[in-house]
Amino acid sequence: MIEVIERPSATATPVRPSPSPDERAARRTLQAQIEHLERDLAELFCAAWPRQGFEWGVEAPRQSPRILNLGEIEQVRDALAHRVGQAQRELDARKRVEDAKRRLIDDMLKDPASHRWLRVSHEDIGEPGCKHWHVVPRFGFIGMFANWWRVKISSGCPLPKAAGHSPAAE
Amino acid sequence: MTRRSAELGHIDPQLADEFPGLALICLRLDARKGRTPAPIKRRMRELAGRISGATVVQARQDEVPWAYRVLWRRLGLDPDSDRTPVERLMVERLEHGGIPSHGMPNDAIVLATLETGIPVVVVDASKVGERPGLRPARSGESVDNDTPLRPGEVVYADDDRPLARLTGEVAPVCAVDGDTTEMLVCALAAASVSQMAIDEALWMVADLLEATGRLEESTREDNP
Repeated sequence: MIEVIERPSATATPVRPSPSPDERAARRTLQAQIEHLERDLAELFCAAWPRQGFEWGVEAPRQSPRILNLGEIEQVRDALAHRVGQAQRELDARKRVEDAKRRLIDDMLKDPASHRWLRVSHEDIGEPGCKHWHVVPRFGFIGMFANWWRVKISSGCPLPKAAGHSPAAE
Repeated sequence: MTRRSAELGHIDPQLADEFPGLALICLRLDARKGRTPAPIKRRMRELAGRISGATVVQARQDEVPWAYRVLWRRLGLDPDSDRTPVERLMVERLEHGGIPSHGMPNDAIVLATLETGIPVVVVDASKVGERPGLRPARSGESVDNDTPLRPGEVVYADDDRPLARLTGEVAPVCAVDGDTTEMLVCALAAASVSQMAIDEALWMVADLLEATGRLEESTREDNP
């Protein structure tokens, strides 16, 4: 069996005081901010799913892993903060639009005749899947002329087709 | 197969100062390179079935993968471009629609990394020098004898030479090959990752290699 061994804890005594004490405090603060921002970014990433079109990349100061200097740590912190802020604003904006679309669905269901031919999809309200609400006339042309409208709810995605298979080829 | 006690790898003092809690835990064990037995391949298929797009999205918020994202970020990398080992394997699983088998010990590393989130590298123990651990690369050093590392790049290394990159790319000089009889399994521990997760990763690799050895032995006995 593997013996349980003690890892040096986060409070272990620093071995070599290479940076000046003042710089070390600044570095610690920046590292803590990076940790906090990374958590915020991860939460936003999960909250944004399955919406598309967000930019999640954060410019890295280096091409290879290394100990960064104070300026570079600041650069990472600033880039992360910028990305988190930008993603949060974009997500908020999308949610506002999605809320409006949800209200529109309610209105469509209450009064289809006032929302002729309108179509709202799951994508429009930030949900996964292909469901959509579509205001169409009842009984085709008869409904159009008689002003009989209803909301048709399509619940699923098209069934997958085998690659290279088409009914026309049969 | 003999397992020895786990030992702490040497962490360069500057790294230890900059990243409190960073550790490398190594386990030596007698094991050989070999084909992956059918039960382990089945386990890989089952694991692949559990990894969906939603799992990969959610993984960012899980404690262990998140800790390595933070470490990558602090080391100046963007984990969305230079992925952490567990995220790279998860994305590869989505892209390939499964987890391809590459034999042991590679499959043991993949299983342990995906199950625990801990980056693991395995090297030939007989080719590792004094004080394996983590340190910045020195000028002129390289992992593949081809492209020199940038001085200061943090690598798995012993006193003499780099053993592997943090991404998991092992130097050919110390990679496990047909002549290997003893392996050194190293688990990278980031701050805030529990000792239990690290031990689990090491145990898993050791158990899988042990099981492979037993199965190969019984096959040899059945077909002398």
